[in-house]
Amino acid sequence: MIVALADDPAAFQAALREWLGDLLARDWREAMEAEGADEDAYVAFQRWWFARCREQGLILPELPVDLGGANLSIRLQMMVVEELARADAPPLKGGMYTVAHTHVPATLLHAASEEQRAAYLPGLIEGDVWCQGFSEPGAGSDLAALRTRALRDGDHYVINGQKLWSSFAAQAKYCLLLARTDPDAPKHRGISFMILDMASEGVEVRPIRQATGHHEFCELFLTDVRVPVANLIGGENAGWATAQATLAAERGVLAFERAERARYELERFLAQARESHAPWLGREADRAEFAALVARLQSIRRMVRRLLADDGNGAAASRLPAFIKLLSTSFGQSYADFRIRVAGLAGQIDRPSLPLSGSVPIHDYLNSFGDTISAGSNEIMRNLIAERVLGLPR
Amino acid sequence: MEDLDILRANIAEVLARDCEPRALHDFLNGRGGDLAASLRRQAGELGWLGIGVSEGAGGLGFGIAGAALLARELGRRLAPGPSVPLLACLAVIDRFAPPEVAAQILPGLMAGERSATIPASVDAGETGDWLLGEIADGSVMLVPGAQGLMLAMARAPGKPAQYRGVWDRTRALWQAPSDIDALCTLPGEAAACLVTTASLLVAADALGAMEGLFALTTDYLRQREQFGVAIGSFQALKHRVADLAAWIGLADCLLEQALDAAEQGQVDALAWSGLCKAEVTDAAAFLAAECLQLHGAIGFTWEHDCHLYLKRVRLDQALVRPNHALRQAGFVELVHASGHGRSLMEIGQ
Repeated sequence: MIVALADDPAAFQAALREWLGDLLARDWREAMEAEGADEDAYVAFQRWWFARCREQGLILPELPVDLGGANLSIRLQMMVVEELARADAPPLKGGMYTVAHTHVPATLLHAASEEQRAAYLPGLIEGDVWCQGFSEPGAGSDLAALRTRALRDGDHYVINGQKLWSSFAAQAKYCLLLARTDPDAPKHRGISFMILDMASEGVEVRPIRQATGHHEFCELFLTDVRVPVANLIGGENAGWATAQATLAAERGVLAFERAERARYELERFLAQARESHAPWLGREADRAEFAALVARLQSIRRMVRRLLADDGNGAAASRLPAFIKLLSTSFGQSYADFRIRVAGLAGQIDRPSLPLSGSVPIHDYLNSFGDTISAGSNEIMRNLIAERVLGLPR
Repeated sequence: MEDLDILRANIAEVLARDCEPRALHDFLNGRGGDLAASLRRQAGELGWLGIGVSEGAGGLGFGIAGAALLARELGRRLAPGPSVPLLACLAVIDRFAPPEVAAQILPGLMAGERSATIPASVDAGETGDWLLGEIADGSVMLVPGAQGLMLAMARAPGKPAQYRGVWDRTRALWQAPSDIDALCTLPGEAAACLVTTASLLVAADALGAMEGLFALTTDYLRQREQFGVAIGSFQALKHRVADLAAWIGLADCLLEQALDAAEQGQVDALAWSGLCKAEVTDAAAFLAAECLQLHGAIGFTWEHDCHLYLKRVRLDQALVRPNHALRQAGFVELVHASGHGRSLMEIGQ
């Protein structure tokens, strides 16, 4: 088990490289795409990859030992992410495990009781898939306007409402749910945060097809769904603060993973362009644009490192996440836009693509809107920067 | 690094007092004393100019990161005078001049007694012999020579014909005089070191200017009221300044990248310094235009600092090498490294 080598970083790194080299056929993407990028096959592949990582203790190794983790340091977490990116391995915290491996631990470690942590965190390491039930048809950027109702009935809440943009809800075992418990309170103060068992009666999941053609996110219809009061995370009507902890989870290692993967993608893209003598290599404007993209990405990578070097209470932790979200997602869009243009007509051919970056340029470009819109749209990030960082009046 | 933070605070404090807007505007309008000269002497007396010079040569030993820190604070305050040429000459002479020549020149330069010039641009063409800085008796000059970069000393005050006033009145260009006293020709690597150093210093100057102008602008947006509210409450303006703040963050991180590459003597130090100068000065020019527009008509007046910042970063943009050429050079290095299994993007722990 690689994680057992954590006391010796050099051995840890060497073991990671060897394991990745043995495990991954370089062309796993092509192999997947050749199968027509069938979504069931992709889900099966993610489960296979999860199981391999689990054998090495690499699933949530940052968790405390008594909750099934290895208390892995931030430095070694970064090393794991970097080695996976270098090997072009599937992402560790991505795809259908994104919420389970990023948002759930952040939320539960922040606001849950001892019993709740013990009840749910070990299951994450077993492979539980989670989804998020935040947005609604009438509550997107104005999340606090959500209307899904939770009515107390003895030791249960009875939930009625509709949730949107819930990624991988079709595979999820649990859902992080926001619902209104006090319709008379000011909108931020009447919301509660609870865990919904997706197998509950009255939960209907309808996949939504995205612009990429994939079905990652879903619509949830909740009709008289009974959720035990014991599933409340934090106090009744105190859900808004907990939701902030969930949304803040994308700072840190997830941002690092995105930036490191982009670095290797750019380098592989350039190497492939050299090998294939791509025409854009001779065009001055394209060369300048590519060089500028490299410079921009390098800045973002350093910004993420500043955030991770922060002890969590410093100035960086409060200022940087909104900048990093805005900059890294805009970067992803600019880079995909560049790739579409240099690909020319050939890039317009519709061929199968995985719902992962590093795929067909137009796929990545379309997918980049998922990043610029989700987890607080970039417009919301600009509001946050202007009001909370720069102190402009609300 | 703590020592550098203390030094930065000291520099900022002194400049806030001695390079405040009234004194600056008076100087630029030809009233009052020679602010550029007094700031240079003060920088010498306080030991600032030796910030990047090795300790063996009497400096503070903070290297290029130290010199860039000073350039950034000077840019933030629009400090007039040849700061980039002075700091670049100090760095190049400290590293490459023969010891006896360095011993003759460095003390006077560090004390703020001598001025300095460097080539304004290494691109050939009709501006190929233009110098950035100040030519006076005893000024130290780095000039391109047939055998390489030459270290020279100006003999007498430059003839009026050699002076080239520029829109950025905080600095000046000169045409290289034909009669100079060459002291020595520096080794081959000195020319690349000068380009790297000057690129980093110009980027630092532009970044400081961005930060100074941006602070003015957000202050203004908080205070200025129209339609009964502070104009900073308008979302259209908030989103623009949020983007500008993001550009500043990127520029800061890119400067850190380029400084690290230079300090560690990496083979890609030249490429990173060039990409840094290109990206930061272009961003600075964009930011300066936005900030002037956000100020409205008051930002278009002669008495305001907006146009001073705008002119300063426009000169920065044109210095060292054209930005398009720097990006091409950066790209060539990226391709070269890729072909040799190297990466320009490694970041040490």
